[in-house]
Amino acid sequence: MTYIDNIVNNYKDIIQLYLYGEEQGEAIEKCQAFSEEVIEMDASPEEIVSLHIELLDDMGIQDGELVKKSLDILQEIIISFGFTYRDYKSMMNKLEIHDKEMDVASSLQETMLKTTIPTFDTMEIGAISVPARKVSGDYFNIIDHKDGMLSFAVADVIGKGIPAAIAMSMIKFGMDSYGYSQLPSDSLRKLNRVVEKNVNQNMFVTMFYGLYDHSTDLLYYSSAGHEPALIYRYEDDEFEEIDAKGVVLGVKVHARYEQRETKIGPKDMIIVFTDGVTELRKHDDTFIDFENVKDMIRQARDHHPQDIVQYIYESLMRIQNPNKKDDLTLFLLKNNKNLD
Amino acid sequence: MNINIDATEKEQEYSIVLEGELDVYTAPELQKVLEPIRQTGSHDIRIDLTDVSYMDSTGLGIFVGTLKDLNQHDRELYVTGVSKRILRLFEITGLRDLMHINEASEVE
Repeated sequence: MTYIDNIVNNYKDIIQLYLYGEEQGEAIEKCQAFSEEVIEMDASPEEIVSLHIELLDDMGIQDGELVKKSLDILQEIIISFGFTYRDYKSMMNKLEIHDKEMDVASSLQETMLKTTIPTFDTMEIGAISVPARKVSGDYFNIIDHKDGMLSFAVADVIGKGIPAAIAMSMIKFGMDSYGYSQLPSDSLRKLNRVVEKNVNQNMFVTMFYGLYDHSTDLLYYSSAGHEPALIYRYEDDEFEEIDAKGVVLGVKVHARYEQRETKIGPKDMIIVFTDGVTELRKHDDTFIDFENVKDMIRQARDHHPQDIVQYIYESLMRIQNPNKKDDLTLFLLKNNKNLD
Repeated sequence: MNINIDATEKEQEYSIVLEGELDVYTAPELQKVLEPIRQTGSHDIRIDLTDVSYMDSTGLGIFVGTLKDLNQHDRELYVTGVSKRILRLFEITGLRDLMHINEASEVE
């Protein structure tokens, strides 16, 4: 007996039970299980109506009263279809609202949060930030204070949709509105207060904040729970990990941030990234060996930072498991002064 | 990849044992289980990550939210069985100092 025959027989039994049996309630109850089954197999309401007509013929039911009575069963089943249809419609509505929310957040990011990369004679900057989905959780901002100082921040906002986009705008406007260069530890302390007040419970922000003085080549930096950054020492051909103690933004009201400084030599590079790089999953689902990323930087070291980050991004995309994508951001600053 | 969530209510705490990957895809399931417990604030929460092979920042977000809710009720969050790779996440983010991680339980 095929599956379809089974369905037909079930339906026949229900009609039989309802019209000629003693327990009509039982027949009605069976309708529910039956509807679930046919809805599950994607049968349409009109197919059920056809089946009903066929079965009446088949069973030789012609008496007007009986035909009318059998319609109770049909009605019962069509009601279930109605429920399913309404569920479906409300789900579609929710999806539409969700899509609209994502569109708003996404266009907010594309317009308000856009950062232009400034150009200088003494240094070169490259940055790339690619969202895994429509809305990114990664964010970077670069501010030229026009006083020989440059601020940059790379952040990962954990949380989704509009709240995440709002958190990013707060960060951007917080940073931009200072108007003059601020020490990284002070900036993070202020940003923490802004984020802490406004985010929903599960949300937090990791951020690496740097202030680069390009007259003295000193980098001041602080970190709010962000991935350690790297400095590539050109002359030694070596990488140095830089990190400073500090909790993520938005968790602790009175957080304090350690600040450190280091000298950036000629042709040295500062590389800041998000966990889309360090926690990248390869095709076989294992994690990337970070030494590979360092090798990529090394190989491309004599190119412009924008070309370097583009090259790393493309190389990473080739090894990444496309089903385990995460937002990915790379920021690279190269001291362009010549070696003596 | 999936996650298995096994929650048991004890007198003073909720014990939750996770198995699988805790990431952007599975975090909502854990969130659903934790939400009511977090908000009533009548229990401490203990989460066992021994059989969690991977956790991303969305997973970490759940711990942050849980911590904030529990703090409002003077309740504690214990995380046990944290592997080296996951411990690195708690350390980098500075969250390690804010919750009880891999601490031996009081009653052995």
